[in-house]
Amino acid sequence: MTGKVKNVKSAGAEKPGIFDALLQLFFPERCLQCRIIIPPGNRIPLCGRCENSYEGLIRICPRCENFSRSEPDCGCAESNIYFSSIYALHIYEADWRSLLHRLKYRQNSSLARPLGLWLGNQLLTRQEKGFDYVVPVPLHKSRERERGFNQSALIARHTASALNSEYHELLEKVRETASQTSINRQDRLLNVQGAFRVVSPFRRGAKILLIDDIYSTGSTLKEAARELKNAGAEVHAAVIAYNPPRFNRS
Amino acid sequence: MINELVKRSLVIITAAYVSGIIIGRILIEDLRIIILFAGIILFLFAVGISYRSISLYKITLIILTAAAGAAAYYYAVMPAGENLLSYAGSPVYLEGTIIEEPVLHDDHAVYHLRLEMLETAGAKLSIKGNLLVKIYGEKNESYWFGERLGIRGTIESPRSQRNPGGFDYNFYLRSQGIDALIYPAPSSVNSLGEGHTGFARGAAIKLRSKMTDQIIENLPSPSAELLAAILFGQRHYLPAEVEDNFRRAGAGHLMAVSGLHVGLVAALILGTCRLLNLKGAIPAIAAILCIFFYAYLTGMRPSSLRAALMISTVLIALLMEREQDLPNAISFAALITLFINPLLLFSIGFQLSYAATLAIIYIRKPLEEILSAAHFPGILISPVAVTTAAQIGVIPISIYYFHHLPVAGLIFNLLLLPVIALVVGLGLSGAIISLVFSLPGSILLWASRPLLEFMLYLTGISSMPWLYMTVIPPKTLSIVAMYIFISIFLIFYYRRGNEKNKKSLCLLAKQVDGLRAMRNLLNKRLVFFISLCLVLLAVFFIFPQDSDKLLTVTFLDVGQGAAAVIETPCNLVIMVDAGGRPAFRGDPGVVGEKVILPFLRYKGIKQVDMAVITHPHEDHFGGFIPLVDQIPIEKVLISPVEGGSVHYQDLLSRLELAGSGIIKANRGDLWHCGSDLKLKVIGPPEKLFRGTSSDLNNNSIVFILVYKNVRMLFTGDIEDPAVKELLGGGEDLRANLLLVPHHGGYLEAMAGLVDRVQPALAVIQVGSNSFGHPHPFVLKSLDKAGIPVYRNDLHGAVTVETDGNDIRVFVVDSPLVSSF
Repeated sequence: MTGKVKNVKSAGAEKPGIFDALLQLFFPERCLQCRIIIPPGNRIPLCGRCENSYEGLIRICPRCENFSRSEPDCGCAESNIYFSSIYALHIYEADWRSLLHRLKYRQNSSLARPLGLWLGNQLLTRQEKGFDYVVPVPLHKSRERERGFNQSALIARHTASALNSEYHELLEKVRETASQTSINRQDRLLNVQGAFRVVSPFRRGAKILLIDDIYSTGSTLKEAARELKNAGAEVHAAVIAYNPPRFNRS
Repeated sequence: MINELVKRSLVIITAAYVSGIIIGRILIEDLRIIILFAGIILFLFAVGISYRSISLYKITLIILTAAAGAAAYYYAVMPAGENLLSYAGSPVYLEGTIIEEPVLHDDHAVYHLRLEMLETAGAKLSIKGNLLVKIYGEKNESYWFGERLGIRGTIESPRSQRNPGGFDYNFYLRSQGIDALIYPAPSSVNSLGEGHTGFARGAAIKLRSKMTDQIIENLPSPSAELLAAILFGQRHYLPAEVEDNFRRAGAGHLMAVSGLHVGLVAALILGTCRLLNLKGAIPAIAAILCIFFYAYLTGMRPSSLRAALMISTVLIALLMEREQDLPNAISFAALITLFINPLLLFSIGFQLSYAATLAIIYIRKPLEEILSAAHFPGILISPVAVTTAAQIGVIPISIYYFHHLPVAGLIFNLLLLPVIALVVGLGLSGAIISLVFSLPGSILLWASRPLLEFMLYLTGISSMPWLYMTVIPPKTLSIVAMYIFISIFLIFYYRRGNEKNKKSLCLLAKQVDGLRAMRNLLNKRLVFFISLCLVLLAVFFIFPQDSDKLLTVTFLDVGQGAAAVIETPCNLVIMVDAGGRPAFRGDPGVVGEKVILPFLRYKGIKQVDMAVITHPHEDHFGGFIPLVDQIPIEKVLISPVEGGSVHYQDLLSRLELAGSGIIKANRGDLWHCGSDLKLKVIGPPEKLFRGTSSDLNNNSIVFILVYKNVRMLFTGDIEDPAVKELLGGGEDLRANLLLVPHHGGYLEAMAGLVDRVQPALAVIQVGSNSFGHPHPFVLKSLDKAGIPVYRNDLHGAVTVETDGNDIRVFVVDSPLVSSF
């Protein structure tokens, strides 16, 4: 069901199993950007042309939120960090806005699978692996029921399978919060304060990958990460799209 | 292997299989069209090769699939081994179980029987097959679903197509899985108690009939029948008028259980599951099971099966977190449907359903763009686009089969669709709930009543003459051309779309992608152009333009009776009799409605220049009765003999009222059109026959039709006195074609007539009858003279074509051509 990537080093298309082949026969894989049909088993769900224009995983500095594609660290000196690393597949712009909108609001769970796998595969290329748990940022129960699904959870499942790590819903949202998109950037951190709770214990020092769809101010992720870190985890985060602040602090 | 399939997608496989079925049909039925087919294949391969290099391996795969399709068709029409039809015509005793809900009419009942045992000539045989049992007679004992019957009677094979443009009952029944017919007398049918129908079938049909009962209990007629038709596709009890109104309104599809209905069922189930907070795979699986049960409940017709298959692929996509793919979904649905029964490809329901769905998939988007560019109100864009797209897909087919153009179809559909959604929701939940809780169910059913009445009222408007048109059906080829045109437009549309915004659909996008990969533009255009030329060439060779220089006479098969339509090179249409049913056996005009009018429409005939009524018997004039209001008849040539039934007098006065000139024929009258075409009246004599065994017959109009060097003698129903009178006169009776007098009834002077006429061929207009027509003596006389005989009862309609020198004969039953 979830085209498992067993060996990352075998680049390009993999030989699909019968079941995957059957699925591909009915529901062919498409390029996420230009929507044409692509062969199954690509590590990146893009067609050749779009793949060429894809610039690769973004690394966001956990402190100053500057991003780069190559530097391991931006060298800034901020403190109070919750993450060991943050990665994003892409900048939140142009086509990616509508892509994520489709994922979030139009019940388009079919997008979560390629995105999740892609994210996982990209992390592998950066040698980011060996996570004990892949954990989605949770929605509040009533919210999830209303929407029918939690897009972060859908993505995280597939990221976990690409990384060969265990998917675990370690967190719970205990309090309903106003939608982050409805309030301004400054108030967002306050909005989510104390909203999350660790629901099952884990070993101290466990390496956890926290998954969400978008990183804007990072308030939600930071709050979730704080909770996990307090429980003794080493927290990494990965998102589909990064929406950087208009003016970067230098 | 799997990899290859994966790349090629279902679409190709389905296309190959469908083509195979068509090849199968063509190979069996009409070899001439194979050239056209070869042209189309060439075209497709040329396009295919130009878009992407097709490997030999793939071509082999395609051809094998096509071969499977052809074989499937072959075995569907010609079942291997022993079958029911080998016993057609001989008296048998048989036993079987009723496996469909019986259809009970006022004067007859129809049962679908699965055969279990057949006894003939003392031998008990276990032959499998399905029979349609029709028991005529009022107030018969009726039998029920699941009952076993023992029947004594004669198995009959259903009639194939009898007339050009006519209905092929045999093929139709075969596509419904029925092998043969039996018309037993009510007294030779006995109930043998409860039979086995299979659990699922039994449950489904019983459930359906219980729900139908609830509907009929709670709603008045015809609302109840309408609701049953909408929910379950059961149209047997729907008044024909209501069905006609829906069809005229372009809304006939509402009574075929389709995507709308099945989608609503799926939505109801998914909604319920969500209310119950069920998660994971359960809702989707529950929905899939329910929609298949619903499709089964409605008889697994092509439209409901298509909808169920397509919607379940969509649900599976949801379950598997995959993106749905409509072209693949529809291909899959078609493949499964045609795998079960390849003959459905030729059923109207299948064609309408798939044409509408394909059109919605592909035409909707361009229409939405056009509408939004035209600043159409936002909320209306999507429904208008979907409805229009479906209409575009369906109209050519509906014109072709029903000869109706629903002028206001779009408006009717836009008004009806929201209503039907409500009606299906209310009606279905009402019918289900009423099985358990009577009152709430009834309330839901009552609530649907005003909606149903609104639908009845609205579609009733459609019978206004300017809201629908009866049109001349275009030739098959024009229909195909129309669809090719639409497809080419769409290919170009999606190609442009793909280059512009990179958002396109699977199949087309793929092709277009391949197109771009082509090395240069010139090359691509060249291939396209060449293949187009190939098709045009093929079309041109197989369907030569009808030469204006041909005289065509079609002797229609009207059962026992006579009807011939003459189309002359000077564009005159002359009808010689129009068949009819004897008045004592019901409406004498029925042949006109069922045979003559469809034929005239098929031929594109809008006016009859002269109608010859050889004599006032119903089997010669009855078919004109329904024509009076439908097609203008310029002149009517009648026999000077007095008499004839009330129906005859009534027909004449209605013709006069409609403005036809009524002319009594006299011996020696000469009609002509140009110098090449003459019609010379040579009978009856001035002094009419009196006191013969039938004065009406003997005073039939007899005439010779002359076109250049070809002569044809039309003889009506004359008997010995008139024939002898003719033979005694000096008239030149020589003719290349002799229409044998009086349906081939006994004629003492037959040998003499043959001797004088010296025909190259003879036509006998005869159907099954109790008079012993044609008489062996008549046949023997013709046989002795070595004259080939064409009979409507054996050959179906006989078409004679001549350029004034040579004569060619076509018969409906076989595509072979004879020349004289």
